[in-house]
Amino acid sequence: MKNDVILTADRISLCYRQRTGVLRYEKFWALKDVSFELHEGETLGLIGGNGAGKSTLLRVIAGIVEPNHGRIQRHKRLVASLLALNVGFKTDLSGRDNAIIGGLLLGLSARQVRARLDEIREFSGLENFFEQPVASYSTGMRARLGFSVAMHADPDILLIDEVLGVGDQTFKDRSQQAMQEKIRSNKTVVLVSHSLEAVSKLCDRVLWIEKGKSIDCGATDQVLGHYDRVIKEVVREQRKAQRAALMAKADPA
Amino acid sequence: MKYRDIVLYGVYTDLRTEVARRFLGFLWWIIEPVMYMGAFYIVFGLALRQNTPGYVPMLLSGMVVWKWFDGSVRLASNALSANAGIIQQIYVPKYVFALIPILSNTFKFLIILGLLIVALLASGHVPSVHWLGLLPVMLVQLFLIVSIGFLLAAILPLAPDLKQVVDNVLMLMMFLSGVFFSVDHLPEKMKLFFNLNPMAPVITAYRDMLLHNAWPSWLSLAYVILVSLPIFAVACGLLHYYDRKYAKLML
Repeated sequence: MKNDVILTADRISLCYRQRTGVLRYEKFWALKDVSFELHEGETLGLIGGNGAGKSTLLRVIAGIVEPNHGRIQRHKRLVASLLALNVGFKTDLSGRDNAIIGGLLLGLSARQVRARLDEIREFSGLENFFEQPVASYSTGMRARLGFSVAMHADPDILLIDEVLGVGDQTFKDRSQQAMQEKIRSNKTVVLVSHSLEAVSKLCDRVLWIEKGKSIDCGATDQVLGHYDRVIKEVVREQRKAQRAALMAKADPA
Repeated sequence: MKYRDIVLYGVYTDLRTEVARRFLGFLWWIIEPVMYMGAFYIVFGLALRQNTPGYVPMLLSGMVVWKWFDGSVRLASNALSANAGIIQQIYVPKYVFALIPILSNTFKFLIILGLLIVALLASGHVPSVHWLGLLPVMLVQLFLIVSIGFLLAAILPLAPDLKQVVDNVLMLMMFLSGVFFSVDHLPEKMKLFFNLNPMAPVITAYRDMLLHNAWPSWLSLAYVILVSLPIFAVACGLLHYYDRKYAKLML
């Protein structure tokens, strides 16, 4: 499966500014010289430890932020959006109104949103609550509404940031199934996950980043194999260091 | 334009939220300004007893026009931080967030303007063809509001500390716009200085039409447009330049 490249990132770096005191800022580089390509119809997995820059990379692909250095090139006009679960809820308004706002924000036109409202209502399983103010919803119900809207927004590139299981068991099953259908269909997906099992099951290729730098990028088996070896190595090193520390404590001489 | 739907629906939900949140709903759009104007009427019309006839209508027309400007600019300047959650998750051009509160505040202004006109008619003012000038004057003021509102919306996320400065500058501007007095009564030298403040000629224009049944000074309105244009250009430039940078700054 060799499809057209629809997005190229060329050595992108991105820094956040953090206020550290009066008149003082500190720079934090969340991405350093990351390059990759995204092919049409593929599912790209993004793996790496906490704070590796995975979510920042998704935000770059979505066009929410632009990199400080490097270039991100879109080869055709396309909408890339995060599967965002709690977009712009106005809690005084009904689920229906919020679904419309969410749909519009996610790039649908008013007509498209209206055409999909019934499906959204159906999928969310909120039934009569759909017409009630969101303020009366439980946390799980809000997540259902958000997920249903995002699922029906249908962008060209779907960006998923570790959303595996929302709401109760029934809805969790339904949402996972819907998401896997999307991923397996010919949609271009970038998936951030800590579950290597999910990644190996769903992704065609994997990009592994650590501390803002890309470590490896390639076919799923190859990168996961590499990742696995390195993690095992790191764990072994840690155990060794721990053991050494314990020994030193037990035997100060 | 794709973002038109977002703006229109945003204004609609803004207003719907206000209705839904309060027991008396949309009645507050009428009660609140009546109370507000009533307070000024009590202080300046009854308690301080200004001797000049026609002081109260002059004061009220000034207040109503000022409030449109003041409320809209304040809401717009806060627009990006109020929508930080959305800005972090979705790309939407940032002017959209500034435009929504300006337009919903404009809708409320129209209601208040209607109330003012009713009050003027009730107190014996007679409408004339000059009242047709309201439309162009309102458009000029809207342009001024959008320019300054966009500028503050663009700058405040970069320098949040400016908020305190803005609050006080707006207050100073209110006292200098001739809300509480008519610029016409000032000595000639002062008048020129006062009219540099773009809100002063705007307020005078409304008074010329509604209270004096005369055409507004088109020249001074041209001045307002002339002041607004560079502000608008700079604001749009900033919003465009920082469009995909705000999300990085607002942590």
